[in-house]
Amino acid sequence: MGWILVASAAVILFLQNYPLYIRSVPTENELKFHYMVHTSLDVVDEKISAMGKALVDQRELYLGLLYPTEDYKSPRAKSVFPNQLCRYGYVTNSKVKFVMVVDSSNTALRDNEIRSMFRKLHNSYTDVMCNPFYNPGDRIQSRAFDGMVTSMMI
Amino acid sequence: QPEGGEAADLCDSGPMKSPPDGRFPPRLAAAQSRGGFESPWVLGEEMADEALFLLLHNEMVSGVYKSAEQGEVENGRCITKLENMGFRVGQGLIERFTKDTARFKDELDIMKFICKDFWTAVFKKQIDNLRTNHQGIYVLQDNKFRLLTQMSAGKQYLEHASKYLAFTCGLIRGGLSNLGIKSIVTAEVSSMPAFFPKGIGVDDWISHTNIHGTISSQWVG
Repeated sequence: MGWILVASAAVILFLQNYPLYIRSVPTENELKFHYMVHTSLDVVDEKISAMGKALVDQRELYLGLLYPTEDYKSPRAKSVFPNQLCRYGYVTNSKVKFVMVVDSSNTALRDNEIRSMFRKLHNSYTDVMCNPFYNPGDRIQSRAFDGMVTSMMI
Repeated sequence: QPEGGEAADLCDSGPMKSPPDGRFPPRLAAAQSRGGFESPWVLGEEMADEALFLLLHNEMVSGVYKSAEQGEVENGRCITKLENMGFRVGQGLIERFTKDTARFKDELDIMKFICKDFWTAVFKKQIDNLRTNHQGIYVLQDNKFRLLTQMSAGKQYLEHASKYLAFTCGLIRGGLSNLGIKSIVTAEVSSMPAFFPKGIGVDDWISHTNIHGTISSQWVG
């Protein structure tokens, strides 16, 4: 139940609603990303518990776009997020939630690309899990994982 | 000791080849002479890595008990130590095995996965029988448990069987814990090599008065 968020890119990995790994670019708006992602956790929970409703294929791990994109243009002169941000979710069988926030002004990322990014994240997370020096539930400090996430973020 | 050439052979990523001079490594030969041991070389490459795990597991058990004799581990904590090892290994294993599988619908789905895919991946066979009372207790039955087949085919060495089951109980518990199920796993051996791990939901546990009383009671604290 960890959560990983990747945004603007930022990536946060959640376990039981506390973060295992947080990474965002640019880093100065990290707190806003955290809040945003915390609220999207509710949507993730809703999606995986929706029994019988065909909101999402129950058998798949990938959850797709969590929200309709939100516009963060603020009326004040300086807008922190001039562009729209899309959140994507993914939950593994071991209840680890990955949340990715991407700036939709980027080359419109297609669904397939998002899926493949989540696959890579999941593969790296599995490697971290199998590391005997890693205690499940700790923050992830693996350099290999960092490197993988860096390569994914623009 | 294998020479450099032989070691390089074994490390090849190709399929395992039969030993160059037709002799088995010393441990396998000793095991074979005790009877009832199926040679991995004869039955195909798949059996070879199973023998590795079997032998490693046996050494692990004896290693833990030796360190207990030397005072590094308190007496009576050996089984807990083995179980905890199995727990951590189970967590990692289950992450790897469930990476590509579809999401599990419910607890029964998870238990079926443990009985079929997980058991096959670790022990190269499926659980023979799964029973449940639909209220959180599952009994898995393996009539020919791989880790015990080399020991005896009846009642001999029954009292020592519990040491060799602790790791596997931990494996199951770790796997379930990573999938979100808190459990207590105890095991029962009535006659070698049949093995009955029993999983119990967290809210109730049954005290076992058989040889595995030690395993369940150590989880209370």
